[in-house]
Amino acid sequence: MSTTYRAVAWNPQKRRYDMVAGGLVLGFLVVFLGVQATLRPELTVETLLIRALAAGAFTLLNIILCIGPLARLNRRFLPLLYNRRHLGVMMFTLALAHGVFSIVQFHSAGTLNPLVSVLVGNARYTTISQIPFQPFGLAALTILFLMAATSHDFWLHNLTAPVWKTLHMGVYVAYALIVLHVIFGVLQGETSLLLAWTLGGGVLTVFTLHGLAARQEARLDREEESLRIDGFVDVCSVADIPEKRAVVRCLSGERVAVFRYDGQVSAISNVCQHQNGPLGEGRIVNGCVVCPWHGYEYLPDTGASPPPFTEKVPTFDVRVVAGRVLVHPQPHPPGTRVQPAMLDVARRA
Amino acid sequence: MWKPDEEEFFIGYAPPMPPRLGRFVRRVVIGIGCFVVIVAVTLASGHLRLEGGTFEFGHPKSFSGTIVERPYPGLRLDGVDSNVEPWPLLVAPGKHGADALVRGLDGRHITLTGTRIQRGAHTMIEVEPASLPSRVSEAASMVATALLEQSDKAAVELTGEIVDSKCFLGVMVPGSGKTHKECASLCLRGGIPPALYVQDRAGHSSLLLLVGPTGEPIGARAVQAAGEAISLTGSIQRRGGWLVLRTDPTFWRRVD
Repeated sequence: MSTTYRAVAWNPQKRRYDMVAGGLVLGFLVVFLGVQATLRPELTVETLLIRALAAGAFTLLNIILCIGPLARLNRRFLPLLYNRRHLGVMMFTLALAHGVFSIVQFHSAGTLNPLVSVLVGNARYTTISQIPFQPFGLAALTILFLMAATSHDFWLHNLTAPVWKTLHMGVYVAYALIVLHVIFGVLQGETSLLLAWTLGGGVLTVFTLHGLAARQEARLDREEESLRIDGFVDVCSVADIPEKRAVVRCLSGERVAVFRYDGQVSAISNVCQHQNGPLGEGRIVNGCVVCPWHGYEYLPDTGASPPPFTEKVPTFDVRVVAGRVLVHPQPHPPGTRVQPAMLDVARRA
Repeated sequence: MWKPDEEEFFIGYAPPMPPRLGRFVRRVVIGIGCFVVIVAVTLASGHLRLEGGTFEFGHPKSFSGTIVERPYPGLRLDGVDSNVEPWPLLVAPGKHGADALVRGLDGRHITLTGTRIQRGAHTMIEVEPASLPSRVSEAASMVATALLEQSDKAAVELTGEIVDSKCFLGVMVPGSGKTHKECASLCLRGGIPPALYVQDRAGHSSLLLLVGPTGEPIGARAVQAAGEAISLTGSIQRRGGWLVLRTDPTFWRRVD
């Protein structure tokens, strides 16, 4: 008997995802351009494109930032998370096109280098009404470029997951910079209430969803105060764990996913090495714990991905005593095999 | 409240998507599609109407007249009464004035090729440099310059926005305001004639070319104030159909 493992590259789900996302982006641009060209015939083509690309990029960024907390609050949104990085690259492409068109339109063909003009064309930082908005946009675009350029798993593996994840948390800095770019730019320039309300609605939605998701996550991070026996913590009864699934408990500051499968119980870290996905919300398929975010797999007894993959997560000692599941909060090094706790036949039934 | 379906589990690389989840995702995608259309319409219609002129880009024409070099390059068109139609100002392509192009041509009658920029009664021509004749060094005539000094001066105090006349007259829409500030700054730095755009409470507006106290060009001194509201004093003259404001930038006050 043998099996082979093949790296996941482009697949039908990703293709479908990209086609739908691309269609929605294209639809947005067509509708925006059509409506604005009709209502504002005085505008030049360049201005129309600059506005459409900016509006498209910012709307897409708001959607991207909502997907994460939505998937935390309701697992049915997870398919939207699966290929979110491609949405990010699309958004960066729109933002880059907006930036390039704007620099060509407003900062080129003069006596200064266009980039120098962006940075020093207006130095009135001390007056609220005159604060330059372009540097905020340029800084955001730089962050988005770093994220788009390192979005492939090649960089995830080479930079290591913690560094990569920290870098990509920069999206929130970029979001804040873009909000400032919009406030000190078009909102000060036009004082349009409709634009202001739309911006406010987007920001409020992003903040609210993150707040709700954070509150839910905080509940998971409550430290287990249950009975300790020989250093083991009573986390739940066997019956609390559905077959081939897990319960998640916080032990010594770390979330632990306790899986029940085939008459055994194993405990591993809840944090996927790929993108910190919640392994405890996954399930066991073909003998492996499958991460619900991107499908990374780990053997429940070793915490290691099946060869040739090399991801490893910490494992924990587990006991089952009188129908109760006990987990030792001290983690073993990632990939360390731990003997699963065996359930008795009666309990299994 | 929604409860997770114990049977369905999505793995991106292992199609097909579970049926109930697939139906949910389809509904979400349709919802996002509707949202996208609503946001696109809202944002597109949320922008305010802008005033602007026209730039006949790609449609150059020939213009014949007498070159006026100071304070800013202009062309006194043949057969056109400047009291009826202000003579066109001349600028170079990009964010550059035409000073270097017309230097030494003051008072000379020429035919040039350029692209018209127009807003209301005011016209500007973006000159194709190759269409101008070779420079002359001693051909300056005082005829055109003399025509500048026509009307009485009137002392005024005004508040308005410092704009670059090229973008304002139609090359850019918006050609004024905060989003155009750096572009205006670059244009003035490059020699585009500076102007003051003023509006009264009734909505009437005027564009005044700005010159220094002795009638000298002041584009370089206006760079820092480009795109900003300024309160200033000076005296107004009419020259070639344009309102020209003599003012000293040293005494300009920003209105933040």
